Amino acid sequence: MSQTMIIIGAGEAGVRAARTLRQHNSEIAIHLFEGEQGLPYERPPLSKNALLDDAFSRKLIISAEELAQLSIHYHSDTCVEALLAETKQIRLTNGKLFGFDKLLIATGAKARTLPLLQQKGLDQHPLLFSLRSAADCQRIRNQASAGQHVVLVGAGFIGLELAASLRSKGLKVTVLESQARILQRAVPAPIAEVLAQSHAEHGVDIRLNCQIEDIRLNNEVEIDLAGQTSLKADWLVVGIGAEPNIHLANHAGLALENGIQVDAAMQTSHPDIFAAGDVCNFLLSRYGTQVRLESWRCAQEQAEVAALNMLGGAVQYVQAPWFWSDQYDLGLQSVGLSINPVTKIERRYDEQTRLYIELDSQQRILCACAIGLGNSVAKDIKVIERLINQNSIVDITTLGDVNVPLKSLLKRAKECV
Amino acid sequence: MSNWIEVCALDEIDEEDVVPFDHAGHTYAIYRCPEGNVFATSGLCTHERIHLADGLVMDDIIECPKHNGRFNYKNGQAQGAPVCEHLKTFATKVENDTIYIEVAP
Repeated sequence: MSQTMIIIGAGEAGVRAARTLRQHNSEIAIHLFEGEQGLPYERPPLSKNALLDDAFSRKLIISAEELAQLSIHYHSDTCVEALLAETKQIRLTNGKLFGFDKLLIATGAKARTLPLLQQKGLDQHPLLFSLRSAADCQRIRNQASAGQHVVLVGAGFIGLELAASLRSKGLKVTVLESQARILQRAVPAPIAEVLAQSHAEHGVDIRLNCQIEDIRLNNEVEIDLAGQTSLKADWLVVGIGAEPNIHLANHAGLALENGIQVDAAMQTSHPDIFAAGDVCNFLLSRYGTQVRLESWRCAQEQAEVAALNMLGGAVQYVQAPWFWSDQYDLGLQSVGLSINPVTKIERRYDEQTRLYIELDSQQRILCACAIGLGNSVAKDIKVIERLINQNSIVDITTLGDVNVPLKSLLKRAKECV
Repeated sequence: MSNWIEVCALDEIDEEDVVPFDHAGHTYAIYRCPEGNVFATSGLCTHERIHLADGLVMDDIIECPKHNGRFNYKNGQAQGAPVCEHLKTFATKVENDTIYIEVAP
């Protein structure tokens, strides 16, 4: 009898895994379970075009025709209640059991809430918003109209992309950030500076080192800030990061550590259960560290690795992770991880177009982050990505010299091999 | 009937690189391969209509600047997810160091 593969979660990771499984094996049964209604859709537009474009409709990751053509059994609007690791079954909320030979958990992450709002029982208040799903996006679309004042808590990517989109729609936007600068964890200071400048020019009020003392939600939003006058607003968005959806893995007794712990093969502590995407904390051996990422491309690449291993392969995830963000007319891209950098180099083309590179003690690039108009920094980031993945030792003078194309480093590295 | 349109001088495109070219409401991407020959495709990625000319050319492949969709620019073939739809390609010629592409009349 042919094997049964179950995938929980039909985001980028889940769908890519299903496709990869089918691409490499025409016999197996593939079941893809998703708690949300409708077909699998892309999430990145939800904080960008989906808010700006009135005619926006969900961008599907896979169509109904393609699901049928690939014989992927898609169970939407179907919540998995329990994962029974010992008997290799899942149980749905209606009590139905499904057995599997291999399972992939791709349940993603959910928006973190402010403990203060939870304590006050306000976490379901109609003036409180967060953004993860198409339904969240629809709620924001229905709510937002020009002239309103919205407060965003958290100057991370979601908060800032929302700030840009809502500002462009004519709302007054205030961003509250507890850290000393925006994107403290994710982006080096010279790059964050360009974004902060752009938000200021667009009239977004970003308040740093902000400590929220109290929030009252009635017909409007009132926020008490330490050492500042209280703020009033029409509605509130909390964008303070996401936490992995681990409850199934937790009950199944899988090893957890800021997400589901997996090795470079995307295998959990149970040999027949894999995890990929935002939910997993994976071993990235290039950097000798476990890391959990929320990255559109990483989720897909991890899922491909997981799927190949579910079919008995021995593949490892080794790539340098890549990420992007769009705010106003600026595009940010980053690649790699900032783990113990020794040398830091800025390549500044002009005030708005900058590339910031971090290297280890042997002059190998660890990571880079760049910003510029549109996709103007994409070529540089792609070159850096290749230099990282090839473990190239690079010439630091060239990196910092805007008159020498970065691609020449790639050519030189190629010649060394 | 052929319809040859002048694009630019040959030396305006580096070898193994790409430039954008707009004509009559359409956008094209014009490439020189590492050996120096010239190729042309439609200018927008088939995934999210991003301008391919901001992408990176390596050997025969153009990689979209945004989501890393890859195409062989010599024949337009999509190289796999996230892109599945091929790129349209256009004939090119070089005369007196000037590049021309053939577009639908």
